Amino acid sequence: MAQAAIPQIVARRGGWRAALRRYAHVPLLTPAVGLTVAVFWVCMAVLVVMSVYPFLAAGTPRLTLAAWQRLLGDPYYWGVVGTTLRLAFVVTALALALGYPAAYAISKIQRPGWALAAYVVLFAPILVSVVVRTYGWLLLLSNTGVVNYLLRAAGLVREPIPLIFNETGIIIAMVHILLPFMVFPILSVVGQVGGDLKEAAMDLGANRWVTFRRVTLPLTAPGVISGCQIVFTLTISAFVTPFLMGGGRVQILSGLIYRDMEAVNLGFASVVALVLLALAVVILAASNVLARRAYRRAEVERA
Amino acid sequence: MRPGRDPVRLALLAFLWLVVAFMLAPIVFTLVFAFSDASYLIFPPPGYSLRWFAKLFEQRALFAAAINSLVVATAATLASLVVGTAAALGLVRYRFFGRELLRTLFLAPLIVPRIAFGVAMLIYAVVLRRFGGLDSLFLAHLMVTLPFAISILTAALVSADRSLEEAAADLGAPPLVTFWKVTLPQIRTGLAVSGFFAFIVSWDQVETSLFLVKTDNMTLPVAMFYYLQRQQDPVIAALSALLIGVAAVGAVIAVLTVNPRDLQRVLSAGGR
Amino acid sequence: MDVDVELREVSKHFGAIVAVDRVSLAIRRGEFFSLLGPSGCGKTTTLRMIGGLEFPTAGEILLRGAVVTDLPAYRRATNMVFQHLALFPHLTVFENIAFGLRLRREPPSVIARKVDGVLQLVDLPGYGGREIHQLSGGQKQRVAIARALVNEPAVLLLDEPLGSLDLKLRLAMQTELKALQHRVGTTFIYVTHDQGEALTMSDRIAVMNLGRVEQVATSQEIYARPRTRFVAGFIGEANFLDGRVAHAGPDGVLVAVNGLRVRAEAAPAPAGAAVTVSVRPEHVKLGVAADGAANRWTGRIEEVTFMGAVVRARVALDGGPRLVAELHNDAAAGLAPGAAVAVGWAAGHTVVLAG
Ligand SMILES: Nc1ncnc2c1ncn2[C@@H]1O[C@H](COP(=O)(O)OP(=O)(O)O)[C@@H](O)[C@H]1O
Ligand SMILES: [Mg+2]
Repeated sequence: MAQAAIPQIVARRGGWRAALRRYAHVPLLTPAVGLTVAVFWVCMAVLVVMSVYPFLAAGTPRLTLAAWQRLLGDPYYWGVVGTTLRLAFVVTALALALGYPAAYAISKIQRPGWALAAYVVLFAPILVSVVVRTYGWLLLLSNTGVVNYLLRAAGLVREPIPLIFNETGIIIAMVHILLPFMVFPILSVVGQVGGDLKEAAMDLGANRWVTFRRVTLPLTAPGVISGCQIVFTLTISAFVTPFLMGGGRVQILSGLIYRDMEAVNLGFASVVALVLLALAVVILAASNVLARRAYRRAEVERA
Repeated sequence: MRPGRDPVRLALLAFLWLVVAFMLAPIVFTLVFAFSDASYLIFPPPGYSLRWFAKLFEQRALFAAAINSLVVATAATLASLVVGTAAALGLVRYRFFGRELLRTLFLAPLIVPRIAFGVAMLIYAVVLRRFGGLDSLFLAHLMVTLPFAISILTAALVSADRSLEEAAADLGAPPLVTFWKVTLPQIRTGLAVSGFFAFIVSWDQVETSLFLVKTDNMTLPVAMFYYLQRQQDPVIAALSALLIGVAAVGAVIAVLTVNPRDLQRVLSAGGR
Repeated sequence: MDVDVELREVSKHFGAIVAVDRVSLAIRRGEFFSLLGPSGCGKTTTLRMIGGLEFPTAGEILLRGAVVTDLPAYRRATNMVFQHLALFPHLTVFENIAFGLRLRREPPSVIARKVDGVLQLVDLPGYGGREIHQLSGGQKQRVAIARALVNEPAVLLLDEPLGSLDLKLRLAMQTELKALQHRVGTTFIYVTHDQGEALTMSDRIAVMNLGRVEQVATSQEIYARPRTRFVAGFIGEANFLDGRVAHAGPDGVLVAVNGLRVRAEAAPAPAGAAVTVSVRPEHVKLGVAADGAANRWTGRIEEVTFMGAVVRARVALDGGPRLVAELHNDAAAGLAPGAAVAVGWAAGHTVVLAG
């Protein structure tokens, strides 16, 4: 056969069936794209516009940075940002301190029935409304509530100690509400830390603490990081629990938004909302860098 | 060393049960207060009665709010499942330009603080003159539940066996029939989990709903939030007791029907 | 003879990868046709394009004379037995097999009769009520074949269907599958990378390499007269010697290899062309057995390996090239490394390959 007879490959036109196949994903994705763009993304755009052009306010709207200047120029608002972040740090740290050993312990339970029970108890509160759980903490922590009663009955205090309408109450309730989101990511990685690796480490003469620090901890780091990410971002944006537990005496960004919405100050509320959003994005991006590094280390260890 | 006697292990387990007690405490004591005789918050209750349940059933507004919540949560759940399944199919089963971008576009709402989205939604609803309606509430909740459904169903479809779909097509099943008879049975768990969580999230949504509801047309958690700001009588405890009962039933159903592993995956992914 | 499936210059590209490269085939009605080649050579892709699960980048596919190039799988009269079977785990054996019939809205009585019939055919009578996970590997295999066959396809496509079975079961299923094909008379297109499997079962084989079809022929012909070096090396074993055609005429062919002149019966190239000479180890005779052979030289035994029924010997010819000979172990007595020995083979066993 002559070499010259070999034809060049030319893609067929393929007709309507081929065209249909090429665009088969379009009808599937259109509803989701349409909704997400038309509702969510337009909303975000509206928020940005509102922060510099408060078009629903009385009078003729005009382009202004007044709301931004007010927020960024006033040390009070910087204080609110500080409180928001501080609370989130404390809540995250406490959730980790409770959640890590708890997840570790669940993975150590030998009877599957008990493991499941622990599992359900940690998961089920999610099904109970945040409002209800916050209310439960009000009942427990108020001056005439359960904890102060027990403290007095035990003779530990004479006067009730204030546990609500301050940061203590917010922290306790937030840790309770977000603990499942710390436990489960960790649980999903502790389960994977095989006994083999640990035994190998022990064989090599590492004692328990060293084994934990050198083997278990790096391997569970991805779970810890994603748990911390979730808890942190959920804390800075939480409203109901800090608002009810703080009783208006602790101001954080979400409370600021609520105050300005009640006062129909949409421009300023938009600015605060955008600041909150920016905080969440920056924190996630920063911790993702950390997470990626931890994942790579965990992969190396596992290999 | 026998594991049973290992002191470190015992200490860990003891700690776990303390955490469990911490998790259960507010729920248990809410139940106690629901049966309190007092009209104010006092522990231990001076006596026990059912009067707050009786008073609860007189609260028309709470009842109407519960109906609203039920309607919105059901609609948001169904819409998330239908739209989410279609989108997940599009993302998983086809290769096209801009696929990663779309994925980001869909999942972005998960990052945005709910209350910030609530503000934006209110402004948008006012602009469109839809403020106070269940429709804007539904759309707001859908934006919160949809990303979640998409991420769970995407994972479910990735692990579903593609060759079964090809086998069905090979045996003569057109795409819709293939989806119904072969794909759907394989992603049942994913659908159950995402439906379950979509419902819970919508049902318990305060931040996105807060600014969207009118005082005479609320959702249940928002109504409870406002009630708590006004008064603290045990009516809310009685209502909470009922909701806890419903949640307990939900937990039992979840445990019986959903593989704990799937549940874990959802929760670790920040399903909230 | 009727042609059931025809491929005309079919190519399939996945991005930069050319999975199938200008393949043309004509597969006859009732034929057991195999696509044979190493892993990654494009067999599965070719089969999937015939079944409508993949669509060509170029070229046309015809099924019983009709162009089906762009027709989706569910509109084609082909059925496939998948590499990993793809049985529906949520359906019983009966429902798996009835799947295609139900889609064609056959009445229940017909479905029941056909399913029973095909279960009988694959030797699984009464297995309809079983769940898929209750079956052994061989039984699953049969269900997959039954599920495809029950639809009475024009062509049955099989993608390495025996790959996951252990050796013994695989050999048994080979015989059974061939017998089954004989009974139902359906055209089978069978994909495999196992040359033994292809040689045993096929009426004709297409040997593929790097997306191209290298040769299409019967088992015997592929073995005896491979057309390319790849085919000769992939099917069975061969000694290769590079040389040049010295003489080609009606009386025979002479190929110059180093100092040797190798006799053959025919050559694909004229005198002067560079060629490769191939000869199978079992055709290479040693000692007295080489007496009178058209090609006969002397050499020295380098190595002898006992392999049970046969013995392999590596011999260095005096002219330089090395050859492997394979003999029955009773003909191998007295062979020892270092011994001088006569080496030879018949002109008819020399295969001259172009290039
Ligand atoms: N869907 C696909 N996407 C990209 N490359 C593919 C795809 N399917 C097959 N290929 C590539 O095409 C070539 C042929 O594959 P295949 O037909 O499966 O070979 P075989 O069945 O002979 O082992 C391989 O290089 C393979 O990697
Ligand atoms: Mg293959």
